[in-house]
Amino acid sequence: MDIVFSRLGDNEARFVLEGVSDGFANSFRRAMMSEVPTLAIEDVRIYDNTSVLFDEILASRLGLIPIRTDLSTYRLPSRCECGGAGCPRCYTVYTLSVEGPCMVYSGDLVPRDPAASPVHDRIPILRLFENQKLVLEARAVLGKGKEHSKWQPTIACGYKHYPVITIDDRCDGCGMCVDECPRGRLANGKGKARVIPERLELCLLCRLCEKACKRGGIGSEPAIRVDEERSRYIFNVEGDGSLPVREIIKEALLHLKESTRSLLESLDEIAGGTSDEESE
Amino acid sequence: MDIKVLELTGNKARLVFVGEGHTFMNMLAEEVLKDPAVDVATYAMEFQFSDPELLITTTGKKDPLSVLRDACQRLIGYCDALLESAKRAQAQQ
Amino acid sequence: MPGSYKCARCKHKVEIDVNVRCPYCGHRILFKERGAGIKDLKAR
Repeated sequence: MDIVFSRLGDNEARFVLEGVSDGFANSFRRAMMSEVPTLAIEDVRIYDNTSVLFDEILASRLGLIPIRTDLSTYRLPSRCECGGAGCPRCYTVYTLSVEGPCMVYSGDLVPRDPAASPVHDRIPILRLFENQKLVLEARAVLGKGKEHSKWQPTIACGYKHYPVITIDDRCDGCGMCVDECPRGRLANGKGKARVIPERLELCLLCRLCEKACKRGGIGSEPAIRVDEERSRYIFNVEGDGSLPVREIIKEALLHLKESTRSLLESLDEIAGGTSDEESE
Repeated sequence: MDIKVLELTGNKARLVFVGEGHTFMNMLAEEVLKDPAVDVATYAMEFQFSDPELLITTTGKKDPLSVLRDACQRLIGYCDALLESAKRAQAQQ
Repeated sequence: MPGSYKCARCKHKVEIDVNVRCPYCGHRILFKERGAGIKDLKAR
């Protein structure tokens, strides 16, 4: 049970997850994508829009802008003390007022909370021509990716099994597998192909090397074999900038833990309930 | 978590997990199945967005609820171990 | 909404009753103007 990072930046991480089962690894991936809350624009109030774009399309475009999220400041409306009615702890407001001719960018949104500004300032929203005007107010709330993809904190999030490459004695060093590998993870040395250790994790498990080996006339069994290691995974997580990846990982694990814990509580209630009935 | 008990006997339980999806159920069903006392552990969702129904039958040595509770304890242990290990790895960076 | 159309040729504000025709210049192409109301939308 271990996480070993091979790369960890603010917006991307690559790590090896060891000692868990398939189901857990998949739940972890799903939790990172759809159970970690982020801010996204949900309600748009349009005062004036004389641009060529319909209000609905404009609102949809605004919703997809990633927004920097501080999870300690904001709460999900469903978990807020105000009961989802709307309070400064569960939403933040942006205003936008632009006159053409110009391009309207995400940086033109003026946030009430400077910490919750759009991640990128140069995301084009729409183009305004002469005498066109756009005035609106937008409200961003926390939400989860399972409800709408605008609340997904991850862009690319996936995993694969750890590759295990074995090259047996029958390898004659013909180099066909070396040429075939799309990730260049093999090299020729001493009349025999070998794996470049630092490129091993790039293996796509595509087995093109096995096919190339068989084509070399070695027989029905290739001399190079690609296998997947059970219970060891290479994860690749990319964030959209709204949350640092380390926080996405932490929040996903906390979510899984929290739901398991609440199941445990419910089970205690059920067990308590049935034992009471028995005693009556 | 809201749970509806459809059936509960000494070696069989059918539970509905209100508001849960594959994210939680797949992990849970697989973990329950690791217990040697468990015969069947599977979940089904009638429609895409309906609540999942978990079926657990045991060989009779343990009752289904304690099997489920053990699985939960193990899952919490995994999460704690991974949180700790992630924290350590990030501190090193 | 009164005056919610605009003639494409003379740019006069026009109200449509029976005929779709500008009473000022007789042009038959009218643009619908945006109303003054505030529009609330869900960003989805």
